[in-house]
Amino acid sequence: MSVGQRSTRQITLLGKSWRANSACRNCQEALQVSPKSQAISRQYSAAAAAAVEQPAIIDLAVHPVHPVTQPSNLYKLASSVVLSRPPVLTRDIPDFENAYYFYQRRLNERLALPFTRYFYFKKKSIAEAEYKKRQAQITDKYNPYKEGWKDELMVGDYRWKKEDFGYQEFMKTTVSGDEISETLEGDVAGEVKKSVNRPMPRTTDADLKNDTKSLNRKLSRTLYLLVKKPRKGHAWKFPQADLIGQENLKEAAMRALEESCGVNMNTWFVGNVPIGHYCYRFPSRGFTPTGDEANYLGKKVFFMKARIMAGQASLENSKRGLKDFQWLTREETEQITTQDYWHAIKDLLVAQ
Amino acid sequence: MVAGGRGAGVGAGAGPLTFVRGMAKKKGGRVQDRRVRMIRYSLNHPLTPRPLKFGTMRMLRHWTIHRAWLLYQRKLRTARELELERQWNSMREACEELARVDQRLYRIATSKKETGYFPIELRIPTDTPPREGWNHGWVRPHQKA
Repeated sequence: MSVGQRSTRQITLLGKSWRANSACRNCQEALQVSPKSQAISRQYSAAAAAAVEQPAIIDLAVHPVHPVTQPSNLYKLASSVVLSRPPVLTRDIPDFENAYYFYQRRLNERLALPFTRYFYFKKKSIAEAEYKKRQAQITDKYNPYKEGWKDELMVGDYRWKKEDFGYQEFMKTTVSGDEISETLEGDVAGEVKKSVNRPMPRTTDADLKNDTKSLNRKLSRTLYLLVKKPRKGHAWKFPQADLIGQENLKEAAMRALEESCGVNMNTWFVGNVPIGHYCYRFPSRGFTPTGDEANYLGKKVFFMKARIMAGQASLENSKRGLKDFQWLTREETEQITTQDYWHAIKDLLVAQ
Repeated sequence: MVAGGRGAGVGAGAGPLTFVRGMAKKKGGRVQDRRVRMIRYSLNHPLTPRPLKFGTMRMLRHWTIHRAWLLYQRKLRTARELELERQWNSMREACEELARVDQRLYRIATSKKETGYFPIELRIPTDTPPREGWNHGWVRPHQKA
């Protein structure tokens, strides 16, 4: 994975591929050039010396290069796209964490100085009147001076947890200048009142219906796009395409996504590096090879990472005859995929 | 140090010190800024909470909560690190496999050319969802016409 440096392994692999793919053994031996001529081709400083000594010229008529006919790869290569919708919401906070934060909040309330009204509101001002009025409306406010130190959160007590993130309480108790704005002209007053909107709930309709096609579901989790092939086993997979010609992995992954789920998705492919791979052999029985698959033992699939920012998958113009698609979390993916496929992809899917 | 050094040192430097008592300056008492008075009042509020004094069991409970929190944090951190490690290993194995299979593809995959720019459309997670929800109707721009 190191990019800048050429490792020894890489260089030896280069040598191997040269030996394995390009020429037969005889031709290789013929093409083995002397160390001196190698130095000529690499170093300019050695050019003067090379002018004196004639480099060994290989006569290709005497030693024709025979290409190796056997395919270099026994496995067909494919690229697959792991398209994910990153979490829209922050993570759901577990009960233990909430209880701890509650304890700390009550500890702070116990130690903090009380609110000094006259420091913030001038006496006999409209704002002070509004503050007094709003404070009088609060019924369930915790007062450590009267009630003592109540720092324990009972099991199953969710009164402190507000569905609307404390919006109503905030609107009820905060001095917003509404009383002042009432004296203003109609339009201006309306704008002032609209300035704070009620926040949207974290649970959406898609969550309630468990609509796995919707991208509004499970907003605090990462969702992955899986497509269904028209077959019985190994049906649910990430969109996948075989490499064609001189395509690289990223290009093939982009093509796989466009061909299977349409173009109306705003996506971003994260880098050129594959994030995982999956090797399998074609079954010996009950397998009808299509195209040139008969020449290969099996397939090697490389997964490329991508993120969706807008849009939705569509199978309308799908060139791959896909039956269905779903946006699933990690756990749901495990339930729907086969065991060996899950084993290959489980390390690339994030927990949240 | 010189004995009585304070007076001597000051006198040598910036001239003689004048000590004027605040109360003696005006007859009507101290004239103080109203804001300063309010700050003083809020700092010495009549309802200033007593300092915390934990009993043995109370202290033990506080300590237990603290330890549990540290343990919880450590578990979270470890899980996160392990997850990253798994992802990295998976990536490395894929690259090794790619190098074994096809050198050209490996070279393209690990080259840092044409990695693209970070998209500005990506948003960070928030506590509450956006008002309009997910934009399902997005269409690729050049296909609008």
